[in-house]
Parts: sequence; structure tokens; C-alpha cells
Amino acid sequence: MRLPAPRGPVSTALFARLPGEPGPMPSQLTELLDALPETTVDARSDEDVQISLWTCYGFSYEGFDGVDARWEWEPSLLAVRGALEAVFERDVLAEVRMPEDLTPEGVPMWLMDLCGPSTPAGLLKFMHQNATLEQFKEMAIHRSIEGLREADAHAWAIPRVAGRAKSALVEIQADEYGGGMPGRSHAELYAILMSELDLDPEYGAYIDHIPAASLSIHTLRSMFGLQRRWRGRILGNLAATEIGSSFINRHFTEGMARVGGSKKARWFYDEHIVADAVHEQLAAHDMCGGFVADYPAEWDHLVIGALATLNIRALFARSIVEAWATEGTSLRELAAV
Amino acid sequence: MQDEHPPVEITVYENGPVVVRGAYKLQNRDRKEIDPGRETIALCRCGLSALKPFCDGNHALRGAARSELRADPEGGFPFNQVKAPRLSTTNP
Repeated sequence: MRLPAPRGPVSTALFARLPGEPGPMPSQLTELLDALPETTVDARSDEDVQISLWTCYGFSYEGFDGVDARWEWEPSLLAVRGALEAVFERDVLAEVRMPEDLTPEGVPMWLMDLCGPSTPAGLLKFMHQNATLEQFKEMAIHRSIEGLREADAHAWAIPRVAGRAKSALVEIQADEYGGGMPGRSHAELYAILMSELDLDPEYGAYIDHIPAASLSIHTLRSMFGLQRRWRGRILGNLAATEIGSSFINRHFTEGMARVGGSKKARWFYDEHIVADAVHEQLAAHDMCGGFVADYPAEWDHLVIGALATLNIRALFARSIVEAWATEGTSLRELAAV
Repeated sequence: MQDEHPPVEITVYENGPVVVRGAYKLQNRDRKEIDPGRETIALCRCGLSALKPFCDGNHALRGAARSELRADPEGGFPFNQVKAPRLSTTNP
């Protein structure tokens, strides 16, 4: 994967530095990072912050062509990541409020209720009833950043929890990775979806077209998943991803069938209807229920993780709907070179 | 070595499906095997699934366990903005 194009002063300075030998960052970048709390309005939709953060996390996955792999643990890059995460976390938590009456024991049923199906509206209703094939392709591009990496950020949590939560997490993850059968992992089904839509299934192929609000779904996961202190948040993120997913995917597959999407293209959605009906039970009751019982001091992290996830998805959905209503495309148009 | 786990484990989830794990064999009335496509499966016990015998999450449409709780009144991806949670369904 190549380094993406920069989108502002931080990413410009950072991406200019990365092809070099790992070491200190230029003072100009450090000064920009120091000013981030003042210069960033909402890090979740800030193009410069999100593309920089996505790139920082990229070193923990597959890295970048021609860029030294030692950057992954280079203190100066971890400091850049930390500064970006600080404003991202600030703006994620700004919209998260703990429900007043919620008890630890009530978390599994609360999650099922919070994330479960409701009357389709907004983006889901639009995809089901109105979206064109072109819009399904745009949606596939937006979600490629997380779809082609499905389950990976949640896998970071496996060594960080024990007991019932770990067993349930492993049971979900094994299914996400296709039960060990090559070609059956959900990420591979996503690649098939993209190929069937005549899109490039290589990870990052469309990175420069994908706006910040779409990137933030993946960067949130990476931020929670890569830090042990936030193990409860990544489990909350997974629960909010699995619960209600069958319902969402049924609407996607019906919508795509409406515009002539092939059975093979819809495999990704169809698989999730059945798989996530299992996963949502395991996630809410076994994984989160087990976590609450075994890590009582961290139960609120599940709630924060789930709410932060839903809020980011809402931001993403609104940005797509607004773009389609006003601009014709929801993707970033590249400046002519 | 004695295996302490039963060959098949069946777990009933509150307001949800029956989850089956282990060395089960799933078959129809004619004893024809149904390929579940995965090891751990959820079987419908509410009758609302469109993919019976598997659960497809449709039990939640009963509205029995639903409240007004929503993460974001503006509507998350995709549908959190609607206050009235009960859905009609064509499958009685």
C-alpha cells in the first residue's frame, strides 16, 4: 500500500518525513501538533487529523510501500499518534453521556435495546428504497477501509481479556475469519463484493477519495483496539457493530438486489444476516456480560465504546446523505494535478 | 482423558434465539442434513425469521424488549432517530 496524499499541514509534514530514516520529527510538525487542541473543531470529521491518524495506525497493520517498518514503534511517531488521539478522543467523548439508570448487570439488555432494529430511516432507508447502483458502489468504497479489515481491530482485544469474555470474543472472531477456511473470512467476502461491483479490492486503493467521517469508523476501532486501557471500549465497539447488524444487512442486500446486484455481490450482506444473528447474542450476553462480571471496575468502558461507535456511524450516515442531497457524490474529488 | 463438555450444548438466550454448539447434526424432517455454514449457530424460536431454521435477528421486531433509548436522536448509521420502535412485519 502506498502512502496517501496529504490533506492539510499535519499530514503534509508527516508524509514528507515518513520515507526517511525513522527518528525525530521536524519541529514544524511538533508545533502543529501542540496547537491541535485549539486548531481542531471536530477531529472526527477533520480531514487532516483523520488521514494522519489512519496512516499512523497503518504501521500496525500492513505498513506502506517504501516506508521503513521500524516506524511502527518509533517514539516520535507514537508521539504524533498520541497527539492526534488526544483530540480524537476529546471529540468522541464530547457526545457520549452515560445513561443515568444503567447498572452493570443491565448492560447486555441495554446494548440489545440500543443497537437493535428500529424503523429504517436516514441512510438505511435510502439504501433500501432509493439508492442507485452507483451509490452502492460509493458506499462500498467508503466502507472498504473497515470492510477489507473486518475483525482485525477487534482481534487486538483477544490477549487483553480473559474468561468468558475472551471465549465469546474468540468464538465471534473465528466466525469473522471464516472458521479458518480460506476465502470465507468476512474481509474476503468484502473483496468479492468490491470485485463484483467492478471496484479495486486492494486495501487502500481508494484512500484518497474517502472522507474523514468514513475513516473515523476505522480509526476509532484502531484507537480502542490498540490500547489495553481501552479494552472495554473495543468490546463495546464490537457489540455495537454486531447487534442489529442482521437487520441492516438484510436491507442492504434487498436494496442491492433492487438495482440488479448479483447474488455473489450480495454474499457479504447475506452472510452477515445469519452470522450476526449469532454474534449479537454472544457479543451482548457472553462477551459483554462476562466482561462486566470479571472486570467490574471497567464496565462503563463497554457503554462508552458502544455509544462512541453509534455516534460516529451517525456522523458518517449524515455526511453521506447530505453529500448525495447536495453534491452528487459523497466521495472526495481529487484536485487535478 | 475424560471430556467434561457435552457433545452438544444448547443455550437459550433471553428474548432471543437458541444457540447450539458442539457436535450437532442439523437436519430437516426428511433427515436431510442442513449445512449451517458455521460451527456455532442460532436457531429461531420466535417464528419471525425469514431464514428459518436460523435466527436472523427478526425477534427484535416484536418490540417486546424495546424502549425509547437511542444513542443519537439525529439517527445513527442508520436508523437511530425514530422514536417509535415497533415495526410492522409481514410475517405474523
